[in-house]
Amino acid sequence: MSRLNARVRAVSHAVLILALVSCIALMAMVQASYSDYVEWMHGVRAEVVAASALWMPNGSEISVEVLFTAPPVRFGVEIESIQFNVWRGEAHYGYYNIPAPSGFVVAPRGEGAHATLSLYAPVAGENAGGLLVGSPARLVGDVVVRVNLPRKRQIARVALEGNLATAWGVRDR
Amino acid sequence: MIGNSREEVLESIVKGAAALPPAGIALACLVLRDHVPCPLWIVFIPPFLAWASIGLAGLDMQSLLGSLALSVALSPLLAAGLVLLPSGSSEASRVAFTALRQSIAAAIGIMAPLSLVSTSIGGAIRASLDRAKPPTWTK
Repeated sequence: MSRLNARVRAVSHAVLILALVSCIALMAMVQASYSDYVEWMHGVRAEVVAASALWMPNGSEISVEVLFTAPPVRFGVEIESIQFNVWRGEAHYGYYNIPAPSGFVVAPRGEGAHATLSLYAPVAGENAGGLLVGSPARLVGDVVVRVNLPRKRQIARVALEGNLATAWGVRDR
Repeated sequence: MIGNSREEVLESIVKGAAALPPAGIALACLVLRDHVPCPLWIVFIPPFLAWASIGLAGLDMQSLLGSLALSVALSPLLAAGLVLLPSGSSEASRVAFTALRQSIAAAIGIMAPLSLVSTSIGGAIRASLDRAKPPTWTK
């Protein structure tokens, strides 16, 4: 093997080692973010603590308290809105979309989330009578969360389900 | 002669296996592009360097193509494995299928041409060095 050949081969090996080291460093960064995201998706929970439909002086409204818990992540998490349908058996009593205040950060970067959200939404006139006068209804929907990944703002949906108490009889008093 | 060809085949396999992680990781980064903290073109630098180093090594054409085929053909499997690693068992098959489908498409559309261009660049550098100072055996 000539001297030049030996030198070129040494350079070739050095370049190959550089490629291997740089790709391992790149993968370590990507895997850290990805495995964090996967763990977060497995750990995030939304529970209905209390929910009720009430007669109000100027109509009726649904009041919901949601406990949102999530493990710590290396990226910011913002709640965008809470969306749910109200059912009693097969009867549908409306779709509700309650947007969170703009830029509502529920979990700062690197910290877990443990927040109780109190939300209110008016009940449409055509649903109010049927919903409030009757047995408790069922609330089924999602907490829509915006996850700030390194290159994208990803929308994730966290399932939300619970009972909705009704104020049957309260109006008559 | 047989010993020499065996040595070349072995070297071709070793070079192909060494270029496999950069190629597989670049494909995994493409699949997980939302999690890449830098501009996406940077993920192609390691495989480019790896394949250029194979071109620079001055393997014969058969060994060179063998190395490229090995690294390009197996890279989608490695990428799918890397993407699958942290995901739960409940969604493993769906994640693996999506990762494999996207990686195979990227391997055909991006990595195969990139491997040919990279080795050509490495080979051209090698040829220019050989021209500047011919190997001793030609004298």
